[in-house]
Amino acid sequence: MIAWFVGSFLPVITVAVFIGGVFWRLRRWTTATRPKLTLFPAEKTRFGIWKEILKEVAGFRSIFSQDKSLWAGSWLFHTSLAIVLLGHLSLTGELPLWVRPAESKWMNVTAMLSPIGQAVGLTALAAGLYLLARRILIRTVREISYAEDFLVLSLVLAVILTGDALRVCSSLDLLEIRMYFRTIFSLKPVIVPSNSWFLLHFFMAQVLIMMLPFSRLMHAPGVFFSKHLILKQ
Amino acid sequence: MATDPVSRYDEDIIKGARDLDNWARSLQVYLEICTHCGVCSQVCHVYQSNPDRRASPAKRSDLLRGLYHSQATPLGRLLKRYRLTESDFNNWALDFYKCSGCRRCAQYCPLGIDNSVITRKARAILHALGKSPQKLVATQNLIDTFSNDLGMTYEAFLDAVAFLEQEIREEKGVEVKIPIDQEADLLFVPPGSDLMTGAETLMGCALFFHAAGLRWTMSSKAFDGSNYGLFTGDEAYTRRKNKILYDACIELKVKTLVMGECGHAYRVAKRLMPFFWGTLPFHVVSIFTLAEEYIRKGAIRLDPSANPMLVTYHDPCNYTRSCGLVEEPRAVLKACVENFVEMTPNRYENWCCGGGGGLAVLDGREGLSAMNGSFHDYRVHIGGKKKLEQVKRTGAKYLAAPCANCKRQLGLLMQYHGMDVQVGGIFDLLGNAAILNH
Repeated sequence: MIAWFVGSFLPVITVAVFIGGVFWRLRRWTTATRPKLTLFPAEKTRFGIWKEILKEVAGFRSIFSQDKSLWAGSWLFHTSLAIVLLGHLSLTGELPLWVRPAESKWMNVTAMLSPIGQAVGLTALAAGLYLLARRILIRTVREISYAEDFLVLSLVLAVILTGDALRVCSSLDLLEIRMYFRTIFSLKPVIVPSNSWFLLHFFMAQVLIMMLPFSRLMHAPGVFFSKHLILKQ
Repeated sequence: MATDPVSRYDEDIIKGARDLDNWARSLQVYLEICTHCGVCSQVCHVYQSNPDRRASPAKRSDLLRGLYHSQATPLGRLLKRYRLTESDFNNWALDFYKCSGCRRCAQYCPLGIDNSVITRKARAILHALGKSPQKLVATQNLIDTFSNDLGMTYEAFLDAVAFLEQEIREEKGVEVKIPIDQEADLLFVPPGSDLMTGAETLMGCALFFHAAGLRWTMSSKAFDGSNYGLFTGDEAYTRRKNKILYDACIELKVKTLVMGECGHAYRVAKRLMPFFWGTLPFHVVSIFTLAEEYIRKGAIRLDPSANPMLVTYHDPCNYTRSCGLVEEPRAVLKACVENFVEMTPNRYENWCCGGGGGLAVLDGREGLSAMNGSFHDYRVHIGGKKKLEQVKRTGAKYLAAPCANCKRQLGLLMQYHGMDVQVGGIFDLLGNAAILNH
């Protein structure tokens, strides 16, 4: 029953809410009037604007200039989450094409990916816990924090924690999960994996995905909009 | 229930907030994506001088964020959890008039949120509710009668100009004519307050035009470039005041509008004017851009030994972060003085003087009913604290601040703290250093 709900019923809702929500948000933003708010030093060319945005998004430069420990925590958190997210692509099939050429006698990429993923997952957990601790312990951050800040961060942490537990503490049948993900959108009855850590992780992740378009997690696409507004000359 | 102040406020605000659906992209994004990371608190001169939770830019912006989420998002409208009362708005007025809109937090925000835009929107709501500081409102009201912020009549303007000409004659021994209302290449518009308290700066500007041999004029209708609409968030007023400049440029058929030593006046002319009136049939430049060019070409002879004291430069926020005018004023200043020292940080990272966003003209409680203490105390103890420390470190004896509001704030700051530092413009120094043919 729980397996059916989490594995067969909820994913349909999740996908609908996520796509609909993100579309609604982005549509609002893109149809609103766009004022000129140039903040110097600004960029004249489209290339220059994107270069600056990517530098910020990839390196968190403005945080680096002000707060080294926040930079370390937030950069590790976001980067490891991004890597973990990419790693999840392997659930949809065999190794991605671009990895295969790297396979050779002396380097077994397939065997390396699993421990790397595990390490990155644990890094995300540690960095996320640091960010939560910072929010609670540092007065200047605590006093500008709201329930939603804690809720969102806790939820992300819960997803990471259950994901790590899934890898570290339980005997994971990767083939079973791959088979499930390949058939989930075939609209035929699927066999939901029965691993309870998996169900918990998958449930948490879906709650997070559904919340994303309606929360400040939208800062992920939002930063491109806001940076563009102030960088454009 | 129309007489109940609370419900009246609610109605006004809901009416205003429904328009949030049509709010600009900037506000929608800024109000929806802040993660409260706290970087803005670390770079805000107000928070750094007084680490009070309400002084954090993110926390301040949350006031508007609360209204936005309750009125403009479907879920918020359903819950209606956020009802504002009159006393809430009194507190808004306090908080949003502690932000000087210097945009330093925008420079460092990892998400690119410009809190000054939020401050201005909140101030616009306050203005609509009649909760702007009285001094700003009174000044705004003057332009419909006098076309300037000073309440200066045509005769008074002519007198002020004649006084400048006489002073130049006495100090420099040359006859410099300040043309009024003549068709010319350049229309020169200083901040109007320079006519009352910035005579030295204006004399320097006149000497520059004279020495460079430019065909320039001032306008008896548009001699005041300042625009308090940028401070109160009253966009209709901003346009109305700006139209005076636009009309004068057309009437006098000038090719270039030259803005004097004033940060927000230059910003309004440079950044907002084309937005208001479309492509302009004239250029808008700062007098520094012009002076830098003529000094570089050697068209003006300067004797730096006329200014032997150690001079430092304060970057007005509106020049640097809002207009990118950074090197030109420096070049002019350096050509006029013998000893120059930079403060740190400078240029785009400069700390605000504490007088931005209209604060420099506020002294008492200015009709803000929840105000505890005066703007004067706030400016000298909190708003200007960072700048005071910076100036002290340079050891300079002259603080050049080419902006009427910066000058007003820094003058008060230095005087209050007993600093032996003269505050003035750059053209004051150019006037001293200019070598003229008799």
